Amino acid sequence: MMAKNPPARPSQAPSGRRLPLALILGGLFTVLLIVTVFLTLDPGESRADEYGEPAVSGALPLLNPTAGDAAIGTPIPGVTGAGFDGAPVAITDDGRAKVIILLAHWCPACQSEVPWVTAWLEQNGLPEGVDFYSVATSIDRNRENWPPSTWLEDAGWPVPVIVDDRSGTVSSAFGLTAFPFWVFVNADGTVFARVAGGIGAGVLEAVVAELAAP
Amino acid sequence: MDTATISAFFALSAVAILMLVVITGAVWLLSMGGGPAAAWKSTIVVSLGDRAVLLAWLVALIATAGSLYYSEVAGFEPCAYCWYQRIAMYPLAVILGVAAWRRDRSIHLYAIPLAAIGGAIAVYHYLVQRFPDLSTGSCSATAPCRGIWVWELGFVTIPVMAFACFAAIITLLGIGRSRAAASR
Repeated sequence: MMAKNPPARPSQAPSGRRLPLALILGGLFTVLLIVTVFLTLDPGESRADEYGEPAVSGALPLLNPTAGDAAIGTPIPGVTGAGFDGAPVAITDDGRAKVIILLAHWCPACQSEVPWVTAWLEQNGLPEGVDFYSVATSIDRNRENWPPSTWLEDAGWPVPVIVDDRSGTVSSAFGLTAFPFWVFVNADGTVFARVAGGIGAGVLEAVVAELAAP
Repeated sequence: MDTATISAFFALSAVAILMLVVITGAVWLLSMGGGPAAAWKSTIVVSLGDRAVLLAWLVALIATAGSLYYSEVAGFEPCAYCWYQRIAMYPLAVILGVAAWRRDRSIHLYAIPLAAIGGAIAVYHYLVQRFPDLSTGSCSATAPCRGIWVWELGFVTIPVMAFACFAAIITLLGIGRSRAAASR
């Protein structure tokens, strides 16, 4: 005797009207495209790229934080360039100790570093015989917080700036591996220390005091 | 078309996708109490259910193409977190396509965990971008995870775009699963 087939269960497919999906997606795509065109309309005046044309002599090896810094005690590169306003700025072996910070406008760590260094300099100043320089590098108009000139001006950055070129010649010469990049220079023009990343005010104060010591 | 224009389009698309995902989620929650939300849910399931895997595949395909555009055409070096998100997204562009072709109804079992992992990494990556103190105090000179390549509409970065795509894939696969369960 053959078993009876069980009665077919009624379909539980959900009831509901079917939306014209292709029309909706096509409409959405068109609206997004139109809004994009309006958002990206050229306002007329677009700012020029901000690259410098620095001249560099010499180079330090890349900083290797795990193997000790091979650059310590070696002469720093000489850099001749200009700030955003075109005023010449040079980092040379002039018999003075130096603090150099290399900054990228898009880097949040640099954005955190600039305000407290500004405040620290306003409060403490620099001791006799120590100079402070900065290098604006890794400049890219496609990235946030561009242009760097506006960023540093708005921050009240009191330090002379050398603007790096498109290929980062200055940052390469200092052996930069990460931002911000600090280079501390003895009065005889040799590297005292290099640091990749943010430092605190206490560290800056201690190193500057050491550089200023006779 | 330049990178800024394409980024603006991607950002707007991401916002639209996120809004659709949120609306769909809200309808799902409200439908538990019956009422008109249950009818809206039915409309969504009927309209999208049969094509949900196909649409999810298209989302994964566009996300993959977009990420390759940014790295290979725009020259944005992917950071470590970008790579982790790619590891989650790129397989989806393949397996969702195969699943759509074979009408595989169990694809959600494989694809949703992958998309959820990718989405979680995208959220963390976005938090690192917005709150840099979560990460180390420096930006890699080559491929910084804290760095922001794209900044649109005041909050959209590349991880937000990735999250929108992962969320859309999960939502679509959820809709597809509802449709399959209701048809059984």
